[in-house]
Amino acid sequence: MNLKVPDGFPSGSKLEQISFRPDHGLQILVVPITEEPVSQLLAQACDWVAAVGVGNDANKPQTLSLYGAQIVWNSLRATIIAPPEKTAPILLALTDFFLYDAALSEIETEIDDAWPHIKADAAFAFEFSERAVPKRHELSKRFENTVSMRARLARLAPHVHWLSTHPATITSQLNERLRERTRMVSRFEFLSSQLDVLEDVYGMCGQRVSDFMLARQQIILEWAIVFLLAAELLLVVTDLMASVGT
Amino acid sequence: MRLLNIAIVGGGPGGLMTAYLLQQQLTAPMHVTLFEASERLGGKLQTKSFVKASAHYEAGAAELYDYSMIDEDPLKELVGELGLFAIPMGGSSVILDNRVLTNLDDIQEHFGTEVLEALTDFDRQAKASMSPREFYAIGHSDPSFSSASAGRFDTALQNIREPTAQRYIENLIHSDLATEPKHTSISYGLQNYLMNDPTYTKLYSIAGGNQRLSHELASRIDATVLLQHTVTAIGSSGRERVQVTSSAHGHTRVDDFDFVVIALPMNHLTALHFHPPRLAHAMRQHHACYNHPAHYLRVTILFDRPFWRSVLTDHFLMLDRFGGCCLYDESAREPESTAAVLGWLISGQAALEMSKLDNDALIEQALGSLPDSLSCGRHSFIEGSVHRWVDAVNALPGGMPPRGLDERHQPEPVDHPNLFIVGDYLFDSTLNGVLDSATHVTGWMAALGASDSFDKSPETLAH
Repeated sequence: MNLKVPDGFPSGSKLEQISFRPDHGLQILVVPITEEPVSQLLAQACDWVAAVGVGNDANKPQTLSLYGAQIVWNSLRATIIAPPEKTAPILLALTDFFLYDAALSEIETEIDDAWPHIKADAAFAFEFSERAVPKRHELSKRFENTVSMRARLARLAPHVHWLSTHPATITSQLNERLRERTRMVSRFEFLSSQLDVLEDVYGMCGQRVSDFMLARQQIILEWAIVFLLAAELLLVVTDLMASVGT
Repeated sequence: MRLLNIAIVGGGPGGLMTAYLLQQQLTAPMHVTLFEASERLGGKLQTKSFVKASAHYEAGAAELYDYSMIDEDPLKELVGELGLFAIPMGGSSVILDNRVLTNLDDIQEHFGTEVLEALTDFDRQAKASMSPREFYAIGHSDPSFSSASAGRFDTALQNIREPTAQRYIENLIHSDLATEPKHTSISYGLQNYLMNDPTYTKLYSIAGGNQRLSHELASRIDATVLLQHTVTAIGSSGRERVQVTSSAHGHTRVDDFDFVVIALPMNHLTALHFHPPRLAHAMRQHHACYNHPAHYLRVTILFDRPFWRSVLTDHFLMLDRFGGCCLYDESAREPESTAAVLGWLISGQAALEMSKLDNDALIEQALGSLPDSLSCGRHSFIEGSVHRWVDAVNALPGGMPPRGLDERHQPEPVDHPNLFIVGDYLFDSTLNGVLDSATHVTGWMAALGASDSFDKSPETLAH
């Protein structure tokens, strides 16, 4: 989707909107250049990128210079300043990278959201009582979320651990540098360790809930049997009393 | 238990690594004497700085090779063990006819599809001839089982159908080869091509300068270090001992040792007198097998600003000047450095011929070799330095014909089983190779030192 190019950028520039999810998209401004210097354009690009996500340190614009191409980006906007023949492969590399980076960031956000619950929920991994029964659907939901995050992380693994290609193309070179700059491999490993903890806690919680519910059903069943036996005994006694009377 | 008296001739990386490994591996008590002809230890590991600014640069060995993604990497482990940090290095650009080629897209754009296809064909063939694991093991395998081709590398290059593609590859690897393709083997040429692929090897340098490796080794070895002691002769002294004659400040000293390890560059061996004739003959044969000298010349220049960063964003690139030379951004070795230093690594025949020129002329030629897009750099010149490494490396490491591992390290096993040789030229002319060589010899000596024949000697010198 082509949008209106912000003021001040040279003619021939293009603004594209790329949507990864319904609630998350990225605007990429492509500025083809034919001559040096680019310092003025670079400053403009930084300002344009920084104009979104103000106040959030994670959204500070980052810059990368690669063989005559300049890239400025944060999680919501990116600018490519490059010779015209290089813009297409760079755009491809950026789109590819942001797709996986967004998926990784989404898992990071979900884990951050899940983390505050873990201290309270960890207690249920050891003991589950009658008072906690209403929480079991909540625990089940968190376990499902954990499994879902693990599955999505596993699908990202080949892209995160992707080996450098040789001879290189500009797409592979840029992809590699962006992955290095955003510490993708380390982030993947941290997420994996955090998910290990969540899996341990909610796996054990699931086991405790299951054990408790089974035991609870057994107790109800046992009481039902006791009640039936008592009723039967009462009937027998009543019957016996009646027969003695006659 | 008897004290083993060991001499190491040469205080370069090979000598220091041998002394360090002996300390770790030898179970018998020992005393090591290290002879070094110059006034410093470290040999080809030289990190220097300029007079006009405290900017560092490598005057000798430029980089170390990382094989840890394939298998064990003893050098990287040693670097970690010594508390040193590795800084990854990389570069993929070649400047050909003033065009900066950083990837396949650039090659296609500037030279067309045919050149691109010729290059990718060569790449495919090179990779088919040697897998990363074969590449890793190539120096260690028995030559009788080696599939490496003994033909000369220029014949392999002539098979490339596009002259531009051929020139690209020649320029890409010339500084690694340190010689002309006609003087080296297909196998060694391909190795040097494949080391550009990060699945085969990666490059790194040591934070604070590569010389820190020799400093850390020297600080950890327990040896009598004799600086400015030039060993002049090595021979047998009877009773299974080896005699070392050295001279320092006009005085000559003669010492007997149980073991002697010669850890000298190959071109220094001819300066030594070996006796008796049997040993002298064996050493001549050893020298003949490895006598394929290659040359380096380093020109390093300090500038007032890093004017090249718009073109060179990596640690190095290849220039199509001087037969193909590597241009290092020396100031990129330290991420926080504000200095601006470029280093030209000129190699092979060009290095040999240019080494006769004086420093000013070499600096002028280096500045003149900058591509058009960087020629403005001449005005930013502050200071230059030159380091000559003529005959210092080997064009056919491993020897021709290749020898077995034991034969490489023990030139005369019959009468002089206690005389060993350690050298980078016995493997691949790298720091990794010299460590492999030192590891082989020290393991062997440790086994001999632990054997009964040494333990029961009447010359018990234990203190």
